[in-house]
Amino acid sequence: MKIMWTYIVAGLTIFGLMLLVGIGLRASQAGWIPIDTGTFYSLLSLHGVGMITAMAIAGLGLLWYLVDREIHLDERVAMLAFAFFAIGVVVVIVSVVFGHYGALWTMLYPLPFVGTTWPSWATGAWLLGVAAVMLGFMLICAQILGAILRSSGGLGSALGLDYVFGRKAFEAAGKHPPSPQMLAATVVSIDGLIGGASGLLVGIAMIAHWLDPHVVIDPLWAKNLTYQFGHTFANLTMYMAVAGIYVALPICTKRAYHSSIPLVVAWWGTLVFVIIAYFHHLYMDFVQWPAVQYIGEISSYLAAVPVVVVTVFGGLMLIHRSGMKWTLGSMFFFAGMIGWIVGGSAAILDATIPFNVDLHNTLWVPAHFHTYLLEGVFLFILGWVFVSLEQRAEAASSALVRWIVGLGIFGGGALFLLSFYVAGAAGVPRRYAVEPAPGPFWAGIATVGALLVLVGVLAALVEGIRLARMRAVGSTV
Amino acid sequence: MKPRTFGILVLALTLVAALVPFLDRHAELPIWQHHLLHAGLLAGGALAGIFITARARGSQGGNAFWLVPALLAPMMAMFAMWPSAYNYFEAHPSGHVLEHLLLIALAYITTASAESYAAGLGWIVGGAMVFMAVAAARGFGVSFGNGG
Repeated sequence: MKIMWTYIVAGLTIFGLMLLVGIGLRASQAGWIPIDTGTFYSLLSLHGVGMITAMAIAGLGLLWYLVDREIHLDERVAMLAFAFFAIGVVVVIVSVVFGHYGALWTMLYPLPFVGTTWPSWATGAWLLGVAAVMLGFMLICAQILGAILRSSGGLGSALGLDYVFGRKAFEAAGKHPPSPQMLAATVVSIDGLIGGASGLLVGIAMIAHWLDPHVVIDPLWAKNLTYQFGHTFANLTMYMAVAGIYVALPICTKRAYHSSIPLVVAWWGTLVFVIIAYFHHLYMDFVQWPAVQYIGEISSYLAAVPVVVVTVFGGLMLIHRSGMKWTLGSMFFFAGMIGWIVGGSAAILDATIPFNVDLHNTLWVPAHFHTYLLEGVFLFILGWVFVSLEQRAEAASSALVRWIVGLGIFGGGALFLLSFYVAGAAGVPRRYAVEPAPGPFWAGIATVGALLVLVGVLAALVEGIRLARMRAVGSTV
Repeated sequence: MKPRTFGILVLALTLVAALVPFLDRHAELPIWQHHLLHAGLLAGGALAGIFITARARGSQGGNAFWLVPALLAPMMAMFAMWPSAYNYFEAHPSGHVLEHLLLIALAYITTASAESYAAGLGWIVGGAMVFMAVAAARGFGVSFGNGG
C-alpha cells in the first residue's frame, strides 16, 4: 500500500499543479490575463509533459499494487523508479522555469535546436529530464512483466493463449485464465517497454545532437519515434487505470469480474495495435510511406474499440440491478467509463482520414485527449482512491459533497471540454498563444469550466482527507 | 545441443565477427550500414546472454535489481553507436574492435541481467535493444531527405 499511495499522491499533486497552469493558459488565450508568448509556450510544454507524467505515475502506482496483490514485487525497485520520476520532474521544471524551454512535450526535431529563444542547456535539461522519466517508467514495466512471466510460466500463458485456443483442455486441467487486471498489466508492460525503447532511441539521438551538432538526425524518423513513444505512453496511462475497473467495480457491486475469451482477445488487440496506431499523427507528412497511413487508421479502431466495448459492457452488467450504492468512488468509475467512451470516440473520429483532413492540429485534438485524461484516467484514479478510502473507513460521502464534486468535475469538465470541441470543429488551431476567432470566446468558456473543475477537485481533496483521517474499521481493497 | 553450449557458440561467433575491422582496414561504410552491422553484433551478444543464463520457464528468478543493468546497458549501447565517431574508428581498427567488444558486452549484460530476474524477459528486453539498433540505421546520424 505504501508504494501505491506514494505514487498516487505524487501523481495527483503534479496533476493539481498542472491544472493551475492549464487554467492560466486558457485564461491567457481568452485575453483575461496577460502571459507573453515565450512564457506561454514554456508553460504549455510543462503542462503537456506534466499532465501525462502525473497520470502515468498515479496509474503505475495503481497497477503496481494490483500486480503486487497477486505476485510479490520488490518495493525497493519501485522506489528506485520513483526516484527516476522525481529527478526527471525536477529537471524538467528547472528547464522550463529557469531555462524557458518552449518546444513543447513533442520536442520535434529540429524545433528544440533551431531559432530558439532559450539557452542550449535548457534543451539538454529537458531531454535528460524526460529520459529519466522514461527510465522510471520502463523499470516498473520490466519489473511487472518479469514478475508476470515468472508466475505464469511464459508469455503465452500470461496472455491467455492456452485459454483461448484450448479452452476445454485448459479448464479440464483446473487452470484459470489470467485475471483481467493482470491482462492489462501484461499489455501495459510489454507496450511500455517497446514504446520506451523508441523514446530512448530518439532521446539519445537528440542528446547526441545537443552535445555534438555534427550528429544529424532524420526529421521524419525522429517524428515517427517521438510519436510512437508519446502516443503509446499517453494511451497506456488509460490502460493502467482501466485495471482498477476490474477490481473496484466488483467491490462496489459485490459481483466478480471474470476473464472471458472476448476480453482476452480484446486485450490482444490493444497489445498489437496501440503501438502502431501512432501513424495517425503523421497523416499530413506527405513523404511518409502511404501504406502506414492506412495501418494507422485501422489500428486506431482495433486498439481501442474492442477493449472499450468489452470492458464497459462487462462493467455495466456488473452494475445493472446490483443495488450498488452511488458513493464518490463508484460515481468516479461510472463517469470515467463515459469519459473513456467519449474521448475514445473523438479520438478515432480524428484518426479517420476524411475527418482528419479538417480536424488535424485543431483544438479537436486537445479536446479528445483532455476528455480521455480528465474525464477518464483521472476519474479512474480518483475512483480507486475513494473506493479504497470508503472501504477502509466503511463510510461514504454526503449527498451535498457528491453534488458539489459531481457538478464541479463532471459539469465543469463538460463545459471545459465542450469549448475545445466546438472551437476545434470551427477550425481554431491548437498550440497558438493568440488564437483567431472564435478561439478567444471559447477559451473564456473553457476557463469557467476549468475553474468549476478546480472547485470540484478541491472539494474532493477535502473529502478525501476527511475519509483518510477516519479510523480504519473496514478491510483494505 | 544444450542451451548453454549454443549460447557459448553464438558468443564465440559474434566475437570473431567483432574482429572484422582488423581484416579490412580500409573499409569506408556509410553510417547506416555501420548501425546495421552493429545491430548484428548486439543480436549475437543478446542471444548469448539469453542462452548462457537460461533459466527454466516459471522458475523463481533472481533479484529485481538485475533490471537496472538490463535497462541501462541498451542505453549505453546506443551512446556507443555515436555516429560522428565512426570516421575515427574506420581509421583506427583497434579502437573499432574495442567498440565492437563493448557493444557485445553491453548486449550480453542486457539479456543476461533480464534473464537473471525472470526467464523470458531477456527476449523482450534484448529484442527492444536490437530494434533500437536497427531503427537507428534510418535516422541516427543519417538523414535521407524526403521519402528516403
